[in-house]
Amino acid sequence: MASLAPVSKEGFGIVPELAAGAFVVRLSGSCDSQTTALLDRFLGDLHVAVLRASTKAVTVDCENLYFMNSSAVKCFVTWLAKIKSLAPAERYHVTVRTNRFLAWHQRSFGSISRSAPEVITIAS
Amino acid sequence: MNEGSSLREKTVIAASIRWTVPPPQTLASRVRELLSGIYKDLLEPDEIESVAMAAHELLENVVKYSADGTSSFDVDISDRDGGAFVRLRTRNRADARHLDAIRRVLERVASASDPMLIYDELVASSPRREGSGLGLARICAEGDMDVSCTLQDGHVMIVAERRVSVQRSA
Repeated sequence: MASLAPVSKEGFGIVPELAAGAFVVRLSGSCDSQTTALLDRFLGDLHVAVLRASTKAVTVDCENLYFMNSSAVKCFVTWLAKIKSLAPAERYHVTVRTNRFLAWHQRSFGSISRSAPEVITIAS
Repeated sequence: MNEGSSLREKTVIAASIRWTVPPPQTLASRVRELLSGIYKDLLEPDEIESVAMAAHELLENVVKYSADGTSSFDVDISDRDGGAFVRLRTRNRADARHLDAIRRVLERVASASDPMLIYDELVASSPRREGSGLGLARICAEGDMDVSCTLQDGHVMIVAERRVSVQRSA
């Protein structure tokens, strides 16, 4: 966790936690062209940290994520592709907690999850 | 529009923004927030999400391709054919390569029985592309909007439109 620092810029936030052997990442605000590079870098660092910790579960809490652009969609898909490319024994599972009052969460994360159904679950 | 035509149209609300200098990087977010507020008492929540997302995706492209200025964004709600429609229009300078990329995505989405199937394919293949290349397909699939484009005098105009249920006060 030492290298996995919280991120906050232009109304977008990422707060990582390691609790009970699992990573929990809380996203908040809006992820747009000003902040997608931060999300991309964070997910790359998270991937390294999860492998180093030999953790098998990551939860991404999007309850307070109010918008993300299509570049952010790509960031998630790129991350999931990295997990899929691991040997089965090294893979970890991602659970995305969505906000049921935001209809776009189901549409966007639904499409993201269909790119890698074996490594991600959507929960609301 | 001709009286009696099926295209008879009455504009209910309209707004336009024009730039002759490069637009600010924050433009898309500011307009998305503005539209979300304006439409809060007019449209259903999922319609607001759809229109706001579409405006954001279109305007991020305007910012990206308007380094030499001269771009515009128009939004209106019109009554037509017994229904209400939200229409977003962006106009900005574009080269042939950019226009070709736009046309390829729109033709692919238009030829599909379900735009979401094409969008899912584009989402899954996005890590292999420079840029996401998802914006327009997302507007069609997630935003449930019809999208078209035209090229005139070196400028591309993109129109995104969808039917909405406008809440009118008595």
